[in-house]
Amino acid sequence: MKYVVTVEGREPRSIALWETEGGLFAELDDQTVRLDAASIDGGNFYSLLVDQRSYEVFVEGREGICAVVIDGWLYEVVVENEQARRAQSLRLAQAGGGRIVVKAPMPGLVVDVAVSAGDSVAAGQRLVILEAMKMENEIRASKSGTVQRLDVAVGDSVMQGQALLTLSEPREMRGGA
Amino acid sequence: MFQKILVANRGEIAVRVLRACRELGLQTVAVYSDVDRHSLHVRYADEAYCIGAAPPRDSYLRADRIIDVAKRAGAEAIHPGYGFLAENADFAQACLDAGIAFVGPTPQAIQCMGDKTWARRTMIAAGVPVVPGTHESLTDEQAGAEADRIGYPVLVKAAAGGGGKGMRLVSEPGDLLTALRLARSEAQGAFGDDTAYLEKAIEGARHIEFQVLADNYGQVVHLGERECSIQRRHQKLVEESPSRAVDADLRQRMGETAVRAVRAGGYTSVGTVEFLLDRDKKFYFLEMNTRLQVEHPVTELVTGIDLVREQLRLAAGRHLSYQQEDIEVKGWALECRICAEDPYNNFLPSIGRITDVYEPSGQGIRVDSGIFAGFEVSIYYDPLIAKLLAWGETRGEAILRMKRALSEYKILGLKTTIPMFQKLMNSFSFIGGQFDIYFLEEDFALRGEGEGPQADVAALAAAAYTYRQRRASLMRSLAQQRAQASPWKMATRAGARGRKR
Repeated sequence: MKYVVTVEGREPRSIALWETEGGLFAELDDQTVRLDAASIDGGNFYSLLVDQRSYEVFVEGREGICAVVIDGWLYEVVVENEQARRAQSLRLAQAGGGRIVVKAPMPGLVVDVAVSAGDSVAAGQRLVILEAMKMENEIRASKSGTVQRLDVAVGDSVMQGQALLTLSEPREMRGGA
Repeated sequence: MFQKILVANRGEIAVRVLRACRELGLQTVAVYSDVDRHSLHVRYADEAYCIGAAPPRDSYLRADRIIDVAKRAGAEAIHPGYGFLAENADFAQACLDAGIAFVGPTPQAIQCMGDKTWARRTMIAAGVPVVPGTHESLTDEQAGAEADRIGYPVLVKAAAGGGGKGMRLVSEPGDLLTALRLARSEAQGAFGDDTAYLEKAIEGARHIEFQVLADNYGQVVHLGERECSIQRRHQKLVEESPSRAVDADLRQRMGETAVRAVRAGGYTSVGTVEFLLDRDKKFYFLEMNTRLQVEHPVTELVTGIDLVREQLRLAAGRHLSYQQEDIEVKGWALECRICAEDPYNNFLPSIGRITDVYEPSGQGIRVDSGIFAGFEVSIYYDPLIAKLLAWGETRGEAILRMKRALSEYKILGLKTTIPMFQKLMNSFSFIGGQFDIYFLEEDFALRGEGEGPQADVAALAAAAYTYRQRRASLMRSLAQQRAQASPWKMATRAGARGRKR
């Protein structure tokens, strides 16, 4: 299997992975190493031996976006299948951006809704204030767009991951990938 | 000395206080809300009483229930920790009225020092320098004129505020009224008092505070300074003692001023006098905290003095056991506040179950923690879950030790501020002591140059993880297909064969 791996938004690199009876092997920068990952907690915390080098590594992620913690350092790593990556960039070029569903990052109480349906918002603009753990947390727009739909009102309690509102990206923004 | 103490708090600070009590051979009583049934403080204390539901106003802020428990359990004193009722003069008074000692200053001292406008006036009268500002509550109309007079940037502050709540920085006149409104609503919610005032924001300021001890007989000493300039939204994240910005001469002058401030306020017990230090080494009184502070352990590490033990002794009416010349600061101590927040997602609270914890230890390391594997971080309480401290003979050694400890500290199941601290401990500005109270928010890059040293291993780990995950899900779907499809196919085939025969 061939992957394209991007660590912290830096230059993407190619990693080939294959399994034999001798274990899992990887090739990175023309170097072949053997990977021996032993889960310590039955979950995402591993003792990782890269050949004979020993690391404690926490990895979690979904759909190829991984958070890796080594020695207290956090690395955001995007792992893409090489073929899928090519197909994806083609699709993005043809179709368009579309909608962004803004979700509650944690459970809390909606104490302010700063926008109405139909408003255009700039990236970084405050959308909703959620109160949790005694602090007011501002939820901001990750990209500019138009508020297509509002799903919450002041006084609502929301669960983590619940949709707060939907933004649609402006037309001229679409397709840029 | 007392025989039995009630600790009216939760989390790491409750455990911290209980530890001092145990060393002194005192009986202990814990109180808890229903979601804290499994908490460390409940398990550590000799007795434990449930005082209500999870929201603080139904439990940890219920002065009546806490005093009632103290009476039932026969506790002679109540230690309030920090937060909750620690700086509530009515609670301190209610304790005294019930014949129970409050481990802290007098209700009058809490009242006066807690009222920031009173404190400012008293300090000015005592010749303690203060930050230019208004010291009365303000209407919106007055605020505009006053802010123009003081000069932007200004800070909007809640008179009853603390811990950064009800505080806003305003750089332009256009933002003033919004900031006032937000500060008032936050202060009303948090303290039940929406009085707000303005203060000049001092550029390049460092936060330097002095730990003080005062007995009931007029004896006051200070235990040197702590620097708490690494802040976000006016919440301290890293503290250290001593400070790179303070030399012996300045330390002596600031210390003497702190002692003068304590005397002017008629203050007793353990407390902290906070100052801002500007670029010209001029310092200004900010406020006095009439409680044991979150960051008290850095002072304990460099002075060797157990502040909670001293606080208990002073509450029992003992004389101070130290003269100023007995206080000796040795080495350097750092503290990182480990919070259940995601520094890479706007510090949003990370709520949920801690699946596993591996705590650092070893030479020069101290962990004050309230968590364990299985602990649930809830939305009801402060996100501070543990404090990691490192001591070294020099500041450099303390930083190296902190880096080592951060690399060992593993809190699984939710996001914490550990990665941010690891990055901070490796930043040139922090190592060089070049920072002010705006550094973390304005100059420190959470992402970008100076990434972690194991990017290759991270890449390999993520690739291997994704590979295994996709293979596992492929296996699952294959197994599912087989499970769904084969009985039918088998049955049909068998049936067809059967008919043929």
